[in-house]
This record gives sequence, structure tokens and C-alpha cells, in this order.
Amino acid sequence: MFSKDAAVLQGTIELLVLKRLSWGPMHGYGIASWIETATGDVLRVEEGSLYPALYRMVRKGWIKGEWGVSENNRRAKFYELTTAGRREFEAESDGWLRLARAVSRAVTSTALPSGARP
Amino acid sequence: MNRRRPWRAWRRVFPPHPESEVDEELQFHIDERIADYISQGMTPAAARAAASERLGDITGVRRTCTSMLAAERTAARRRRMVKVSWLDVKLGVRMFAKHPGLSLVSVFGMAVAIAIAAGYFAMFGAMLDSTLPFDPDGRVVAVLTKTLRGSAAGDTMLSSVHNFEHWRDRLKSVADLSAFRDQTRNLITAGKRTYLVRVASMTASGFRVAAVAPALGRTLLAEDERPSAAPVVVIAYEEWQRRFSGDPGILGQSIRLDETRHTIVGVMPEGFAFPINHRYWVPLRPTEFDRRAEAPPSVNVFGRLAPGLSLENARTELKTIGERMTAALPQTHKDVRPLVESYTHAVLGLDGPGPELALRSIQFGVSLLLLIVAVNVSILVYARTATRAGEIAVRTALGASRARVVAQLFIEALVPSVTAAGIGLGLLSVALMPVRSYFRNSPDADGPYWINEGSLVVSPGVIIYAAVLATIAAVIVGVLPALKATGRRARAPLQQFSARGAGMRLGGTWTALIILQVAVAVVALPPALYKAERAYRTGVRQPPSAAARLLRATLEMSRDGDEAARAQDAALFTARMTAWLQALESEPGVSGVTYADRFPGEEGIATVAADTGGAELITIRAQPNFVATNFFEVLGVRVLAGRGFTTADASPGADAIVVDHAFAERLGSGNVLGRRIRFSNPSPDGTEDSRWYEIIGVVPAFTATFVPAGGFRDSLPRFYHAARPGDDQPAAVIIQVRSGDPSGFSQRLREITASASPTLKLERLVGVVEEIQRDRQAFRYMSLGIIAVTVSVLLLSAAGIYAMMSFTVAKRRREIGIRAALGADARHVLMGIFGRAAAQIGAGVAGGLAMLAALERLGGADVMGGRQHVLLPGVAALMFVVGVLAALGPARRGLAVQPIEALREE
Repeated sequence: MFSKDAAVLQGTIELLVLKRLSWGPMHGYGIASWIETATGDVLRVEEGSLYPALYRMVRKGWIKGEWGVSENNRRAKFYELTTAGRREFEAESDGWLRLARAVSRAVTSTALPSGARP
Repeated sequence: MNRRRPWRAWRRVFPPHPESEVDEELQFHIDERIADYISQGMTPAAARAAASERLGDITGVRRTCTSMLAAERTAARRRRMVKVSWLDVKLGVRMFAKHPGLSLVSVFGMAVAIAIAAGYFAMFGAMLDSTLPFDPDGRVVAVLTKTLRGSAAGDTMLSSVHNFEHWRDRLKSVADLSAFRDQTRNLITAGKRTYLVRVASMTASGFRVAAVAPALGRTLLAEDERPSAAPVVVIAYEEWQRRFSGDPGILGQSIRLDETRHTIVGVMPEGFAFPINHRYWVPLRPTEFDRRAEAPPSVNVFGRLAPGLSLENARTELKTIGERMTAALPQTHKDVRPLVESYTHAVLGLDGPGPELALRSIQFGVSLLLLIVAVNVSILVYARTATRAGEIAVRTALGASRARVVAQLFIEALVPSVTAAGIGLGLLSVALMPVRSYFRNSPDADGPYWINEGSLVVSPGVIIYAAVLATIAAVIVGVLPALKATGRRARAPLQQFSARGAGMRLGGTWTALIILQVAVAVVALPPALYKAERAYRTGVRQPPSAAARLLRATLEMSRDGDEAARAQDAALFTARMTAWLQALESEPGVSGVTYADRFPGEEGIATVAADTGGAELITIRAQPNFVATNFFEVLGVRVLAGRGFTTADASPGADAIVVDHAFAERLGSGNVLGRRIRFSNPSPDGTEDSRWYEIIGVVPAFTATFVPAGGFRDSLPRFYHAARPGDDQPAAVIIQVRSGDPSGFSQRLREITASASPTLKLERLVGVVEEIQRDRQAFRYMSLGIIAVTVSVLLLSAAGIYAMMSFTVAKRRREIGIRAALGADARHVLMGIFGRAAAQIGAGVAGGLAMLAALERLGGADVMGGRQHVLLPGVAALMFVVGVLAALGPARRGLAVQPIEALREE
């Protein structure tokens, strides 16, 4: 749960939001549900933290919110990527993948480091 | 998701409060989560609890999101504003440069209108809103006398001493009720130098009203008002510096005012010239005659509103006092009512709401001038907007809302209107320069001292006013055409991006406006040209050579004292004036001295019946004057026929008159000598002068050349009676010096006058040429002003026609192309283009001429100085020339239309 490590995982939420919105506009609940499903329930968002993240991203100019109508025919605020958001997503996802690969490589490494005692 | 709902636009313009928006968003989230849980088999209560737990600290989330949304909205608004305005300003400047003709015409028209409106605003502010320096809250009031009936009906600042003392004893709402008499006196210094000075004979309480401490010594005291007290005077700081070189020992010195020696007891601080523009203050000492109920009004009454009381309180109290006075003294007071008004307004004659309302109405009327100009310019801008239909369509297609397009066109209009306001204010400051320099160079000016050089400035108030005018102009110039160009009717074709402006029409309203504008130009032009020409001629006219050595002034005697003294006034004045004339005749520097009832050009008007030599009498409106027998000789006027006056002609009962050439012409052909005239209307004193006067001589119509405004005012024929010294007081006197600049003789002249009698005063003493020269500048400015307004009217008319023609050509491009392709010759195409312009100009000219004729007939006004046979055809021709010139460019463009291109555009 990243609710405990909000500072560390703030960037993660933002990246996940950008990812979801890269497919098209979605409301907050839809984003939260997608994160939950897409991460196999591993990153179960404490949903309260999602909204400040969304508003922060609006202020950064990465996404913009607009009122529309949901699938259930209810008024809902839809978020969509801006051009700056799209650029940010590309940069962030590259960085994240590099980091993940590096960490993964490190974690799964079997080679003994020099000077280490077996 | 359906994202097109009607509330979208509404919510974008008026978004809900951030708190409500966040609440709505979170509520949607919770509801969706609950629904999800229920669909997974939870009970509603459990689902609600789980959803709430899942969301976490909802209060904290709500607070954080609300503040972030509010901050974002503010930032977005700021970004939008900067983005919109800066981009639009750039676009506006680009459009300004891209259409230099239109820009120049609109800027010029609006600049002239803004200069005039702002100028009036500045003058109006200087008059209405000025306050006494020591009374910023306007607590000083004047008590006026309103006369209900009779020849003196109306309001006057003058009241009788009797009334003043009556009010003073009773009025509680006005403290320190005071009075002053506005007088001029000969100041004779120790060195025998004589100056004419303005003196306020004022009650000591007047200084308490002002509550300004003297710079030296003391102000007047109540004891000084006693008849037996030694005469004292308080002088102004400026006089102390100017006349007494700032002598520190000035207190206790004595000066002579007319015949009386006064001891200087105080010097007031710099800039103090209360009550109007006074530099010397002596105690008011009313005589017993003044105190009688039937004595004529002679003092100005003022005071300060008692603490805590308003002007309304004072009005109510004074009304009661006035009614009681009327009841007690029905003989003298049945038609008299006291009034209380703001002091500064009363001095300017702005008593009561009437004059103020009139001034404000004029202000409104003057501002309308800009409105007319702005409407004109908006026609032009609409026509230009029509040629930008494609651009507007592209912007709309790219998502610009109507408001956004209108805002852009508004800012575009703001660029020329703000430029015009800047130029208008510049023009105004230039125009105010001579007025300010007049104030600066006239330390002895008569106007209220609180309206001075510093009042007539382009103040922040004037700048704000000009800015408001510029904004209103931009709304008319930019927003009206923009709304029309982006309206429902025009939008559909715009969105299809069709031919240039095909969806926009220059409809009946615009056509009517153009016709009206041409008509207004035709109505305005002849009188404007006539007046401008006369103002210019007056402005450049050289004074007659005979005037070069002349000084002019009015000669008067100080009138004070009791009834008996007043009765002897006339005889006394005759004796003193005769002595004065003799003294001047024996003065070596003087080669001639003469006098008249009025100075040439300033005579009154009378209607006379004249004998034409036949049976019929004709009526002539003419200007009579009573002149000395040597009057024509001193002024260098030669007698054309008959003879000039002799001493015998001035004796009582003599019937000789001299007429001028204009008068002789009215009598018809033949010899006018020996013909007779008599006054048709009773003389002002009620006794009908039915005597016949015989014409003994004819002189040229010379008066116009002697007065600054002579060439500008419409001149009537003149006739002259012979007069003796002292027949009229004050007398207009003219002194011819032997050589050199006559103004150099002024000082000596004052000394001679004072030595002939200290009570004789020379007022308005000035060189004849000097006065003409001073006013010539004003006439040149006036001529320039009229020409500027006229040119702006002409330019706007031309621009209107140009715009209409351009529009027609743009709209008929395709048709012209087809006609050209089908082999129509250029003449036919041209006729087609010019046809509409010619019809509109023709309609405008005809309408204008009809209006002019109606004006001339109705008003009986001689608006064209009898030159209508030249001016009317001239103006009609000018309008056609202007129209044709304006139509040339568009016509050329029309002829240059290539058939293939025109058709391909479709």
C-alpha cells in the first residue's frame, strides 16, 4: 500500500494517472479503479490521496479537468492529458522503466560482488 | 460518455464555488464505489462504510483540494488575461499599422472629439469643483438676493446693507456673516506713483470666515469699522513684494487710496486674495443712507456654515427670516427673497441647480460628439471586419468562442482609441497653454483667485475621463461591429469559410448612417467654413496704423458717500473729467485725447426709423454711440461726406448725427446728408426719444478694425451723436501718444489722472494694438479648432463612403468577375460600383441642404454670412469630390478583379 509511503510514491501515482489518461479522458473513480486493476490490487490506492494528486497535476499543467457525463449518466469531472502532460508521461515512463530495470537487475542478480564474503 | 451538454458553456463562464465542485466530485466517487461494493454483494450500509474507509480522511482531502482548486482558478484567470490581452494588443497594433488610412482617420476624429470633451471637462471641473484654498469642504456660503418681479428680477450676489445687518442679527446657521464691497481705487504711493487696485471694503468678520493668519501685523478689527476710527488697510503679500519691495518696515507706513490716507496694519500670506481677487482690504463703513431699508443693494454677503449645520439648514432658516422681513417691510421687500448658496458657485453666477444642470447637460452634449465620431468609425471597422470574415471563421473553427473574438476586436479598437485619447490629451495641453499663460501673465486678472493657472491642467480626473471616453469609443468601435460580424446571421456562412464577407451585410442601418453623416457634414460645413474664415481673418488682421499710438481705458469716479454726494455725482464727474482732459491736452507726450460713451465695437443696439427721402420710413438696426467732437480726428477716421462734429453739435438739444458708410448704404442711393432718423423704441430709462436727428456727415465703417473681435462678430451699421465730457460715466477714453509705444505712457497717465483728481480711476488701461494682438492668438486657435472639427467631419464622411464602397466591391467581386468575363466594358462596371455611392452622397447632400434651408428659415440665423450662393454649391461639390475620391480606390480594385481568380475563390 503506498498510503504509508506517500512521499516516495507520489511520483508513482502521478505516473499511473498519466498512463491511464494517455488512453483518453477519465474521471477520478475510473482512474482509481484502473490503478487497482492494472496493478493486480498491489497498488491499492487510498483513494483520498488520489484527488490532491489530480489537482496538483492540474496546477502543473499536465492534465485538465472538465465536467461531463459518466457511463451511468451522472455528472462527473473528467481529466485529460495536456500536451505538457503527454511529454511528461513519456519522460517519466522512460525514467521509471530504466529505474525498474536497474532495480530488478540488482535484486535478481546472482553474481557475488567483489570483496563480499560468501 | 456524452460530453456535449448545455450546461458546459454556462459552467465554463460561471464555474461553481471550488468547495461545491470538490464536494460534487468526491460524492460521485463515493457513490460509484458504493454501487461497486453493492454489486459485489455487500449490504448498502456496509458498502457505505467500506467506501468511506477506502477514501480515508475526507475532511482533509476536501480542504486540500478546495484550496488547490481556488488557487488554480486564480492563476488560470491571470494567465488567461495576460495571454488574451497581450496577444490582442499585438494584433491590435498590427491591424493599426496594416490599415493606416482607417487608423489615421479614426484616430484623428476621435482625438479631436476627446480633446474637445476633455477640454470642456477640465474647464467645467475648474469652475464647478474648485474650492477656496482655506475651505476644502465648501463650508463658506454666500447669501444672495432674489428679486421676484420688475426690471431687477433674478438672483444677484448684491444685497443692501440694511438686509445684511438684518440677517446678521438673526441668522444662527451661518456664523460670522460678513459683507464686502468690491471696489477699485487709485493707489498713490509715497513716490506719487499711481496704480489702479482692487479693494475689498470688508467687515472684519470676513477675515474670521477665512481664518487665515496674516503674514505680518494683523487683519481688520471690528473697531476699525467705526466711522471715527483711523483708516487702516491690510495688503496682500504679492503687493507688498511688488509695490513695496518687501520692505520689512511696511507696517505703520501709509498709502493713499484715492483721497484717503490709510495706515498699513497687516500683510496677508502669499496666495491669499479672498473674497474674489482682492489685494487690499479696508474696513467696510456703511453710511446712514446705506442702512435704510430702501437703499440699493451694494454689498456681497457671505459667511461660514455653523458647525454641524448644513446648507439645507441655512436655507430653511433664511427662508423664515425672509418671510418675516417681507411681512414687516412690505413696501420695500415684497418682491425680495434671500437665498443661500455655495460661495464659490455664487461668485461664478452658478446659483441654484439650474446653471449647474445646464453645465452638466453641455458636458453630456460635448461627449456626444465623440459618440457620433465613434459610430462613424464603427461603420468603417465593420466594413473592415467584413473583409476578415475568413480569419474570424478560422479562429472560431480553432475553438475561439464568440466572446473571445469580440474581446479581440475590442482590444483592436482600444489601440486606436487609446492612441486618440493620448493625442487628444496632448492637443488639450497645448490648447490650455495660452490660457495658463494668460493667468500667469495677468496678476491683476479679475477672475476668482482660486481658479488660476493651476486649475486648468490635464489633471488625473481629466485623464480618467479621457480614458473612460476612449473605452466607450472602443466598445462602440470594436464591440458593435464584432457582435454583428459574429452574430447568428453572419456565423453560418463564416463557418463555411465562403467568399469574403458574403455572410455580412452593410444593411439599411449603415446606409442610413452614411446618408445622415453626409447630411450632417453638409449642414455643418458652410457655417463652420464661414466662421473659420472669419476667425482666421480676425486672427491675422493687422490693426489700423492709426491705432499704433492709442491707449484705451474707461474713466470713472469712485462713488461713495451719502445720497447728497451721489446726486452731485454727474456734475462732479463732468468737472473732474474736464480737468483731466485739460491736463492731458497740455501734456507734451500726448498728441490727442478723445472719449465716447462706448469704445468702438462695443456699442449697444438700437432700432431707428430712417427717412429715405421718399414717403416711406425704413427701420434699421444699428449701433449708436456718443462721441467727443474730435473722436474721428484722433482715431484717424476721415469724413467721407458732409462734416464732422463741432462743439455746437454737442450742446443739449442739438440734432446732428454722423453715420457710417454701412448706415448710409442702408438708406439707399443718393445723398444721405440732411436725411433724418429717430429712435423706434423707447430709450432704456423709459422716456421715449421721439426727436428727429439729422445726418450731417458720413464716415467709413471703421469700428471693426479697432476691436479684437470686430472682424468676427456680425457688424451692424453705426451712427454717432456728439457728446460733452462727463455726459456718461464711465466714459471710454482714448489717448494718442506723440510717439513710441503707448503702453510706456500708462504710468504717467495714471499719475496725471490722480493729480487731476484722486477719485478718478482709469480701468482696463491697455494699448489698442496690444489688446488686438493679445486676442488675435485666441482667434487663430479658434479658427484652427473649427478647421480641425470640420476636417474630421469631412474625413469621416469620406471614410464612410470609402468603407461602403470597399464593402460593395468586396461583396460583388464574383459578379464583377463574371461581368468582366462576359465582356462588360469598364464603364459599365464602374457605373455599377459608383452608382450606390452616388445615390447615397446625393441623398445626403439633398438632405443636408434641406436641413440648412430649414435652419436658416426657422432660426433666422445668418449662419453663412450671406454667402450661401457660394458656400452651398461649394459644399455640395466638395462632398461629391470627397465621395468620388473615397470611391476611387475600391473602384480601381473592382476593375482589377480577374475573372478566373474571382470565380476560383468561390
